[in-house]
Amino acid sequence: MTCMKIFRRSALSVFAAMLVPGLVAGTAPAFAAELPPDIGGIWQVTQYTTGVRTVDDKLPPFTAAGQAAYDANLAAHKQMKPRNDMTRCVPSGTPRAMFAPNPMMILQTTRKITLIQEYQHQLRHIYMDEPVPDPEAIELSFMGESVGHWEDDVLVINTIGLHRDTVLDREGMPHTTDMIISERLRLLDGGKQLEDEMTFTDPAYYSAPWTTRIVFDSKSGVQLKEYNCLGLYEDL
Amino acid sequence: MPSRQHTCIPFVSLLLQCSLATVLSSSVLAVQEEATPNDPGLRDRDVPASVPNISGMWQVRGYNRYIKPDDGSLPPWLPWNKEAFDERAAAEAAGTPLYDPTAACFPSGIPRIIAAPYPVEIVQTPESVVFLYETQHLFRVIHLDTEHPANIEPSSMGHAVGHWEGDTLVVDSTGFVDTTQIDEQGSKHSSQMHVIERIRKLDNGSLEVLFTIDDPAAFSKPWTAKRVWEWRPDVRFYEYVCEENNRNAPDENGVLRNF
Repeated sequence: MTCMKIFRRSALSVFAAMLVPGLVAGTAPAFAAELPPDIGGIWQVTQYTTGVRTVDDKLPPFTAAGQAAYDANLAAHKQMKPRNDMTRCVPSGTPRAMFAPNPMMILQTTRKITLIQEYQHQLRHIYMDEPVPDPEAIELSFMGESVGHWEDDVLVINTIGLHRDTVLDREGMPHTTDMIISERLRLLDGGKQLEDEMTFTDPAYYSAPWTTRIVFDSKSGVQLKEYNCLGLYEDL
Repeated sequence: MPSRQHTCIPFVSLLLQCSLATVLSSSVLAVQEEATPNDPGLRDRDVPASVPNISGMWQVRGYNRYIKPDDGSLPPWLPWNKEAFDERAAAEAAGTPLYDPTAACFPSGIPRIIAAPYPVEIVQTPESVVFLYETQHLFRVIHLDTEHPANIEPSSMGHAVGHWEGDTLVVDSTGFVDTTQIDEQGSKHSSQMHVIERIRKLDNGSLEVLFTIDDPAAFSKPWTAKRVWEWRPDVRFYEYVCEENNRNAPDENGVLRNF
């Protein structure tokens, strides 16, 4: 939703609260209808993919530089020498963490949404209703800087600031540090599934923005485990 | 990364926020203002208002790497543990410190991370209290009002269950590997260890964490230590990737961040 819409919604809520004493007590159907969907809980991808593709199941529209980077990464992957060598146990980063086959926990609050990916205990901190930070004012990182807002029942997340050590998938889909990821998350099937439509804008490597889609199943009752990349504790 | 400094709370907004907190617990009114110690905007909207609010960003008051009993005594080590502790102290004094698993980026574990100097964010949901640590981007889920599973897969952070006793969150953690240290000073523990935390908000808004180490294979009796966490709405997470050794990278003036 836009800022103006947020303002109007807040103002309306305050106004309604002042008018209707019953609201203060708690039950407020009219107000409840204003709440964004509840996406909190445990989720897991329906299908694990090592190579991200467009929603049409095609390779994205590479530029010459993007194609060269992809070819090099893919060749390294096939030789079991992936460019982003996860044997170092660094985070796989955004967006790759979203594709991991392990469960993911979403913590949803008004001001912040946190994604906990069991794989490599990766944390995505998404600050709500804030502007995208100035790219000059941030440090590049594995997880990037994310801000989010609700557009009716869709959670929109914009992420920038991903450094050169991450790739989009296991096969090495490349990006530059200028990439912008725009995600649109929404519940499907009455909340049994969660869809993440992810659009990548990165003109140096891709001639046009392109979109992929992942779907998560609700895994209510599953508990996240400790993911130990570094080796067996017994070996210490 | 975002600045650690946020804008101040306009007084009127604060008033409004407090007076309408119940009504607006999930509205967007509070979004642009600073949180208060009872700000509902940082916990799941389905947590009943009757549950104490400990959600938000916290950071330990002062950093003391040595975890010992709050009554000033020494940890009641069993002889083997005292020996190990003394050996470590001697090696450090000699300038040849012994191996510390966190130097290889293994998780700090419990209770060591309770004393860690980096920020911790708590998020409450109806079924759990989740701790998000800047340290090594670790996390811990306290499962409320339930039991430990019968066969816990041993881990550094353990398996945690909790419940509220009045204004105090009582947490029992167990299912630990025996390779983490109690603290940076070097006390050890066994895989039988239970750590029982009693966490409550003090009148001044900070968080008291009393934690009891119950490990008959490493200590002659249970003992209790304490840390106080300050409420830090001005703090945001930096990315801490141990394998990159990036967390304490000095700034352009050579100053270590966050210390």
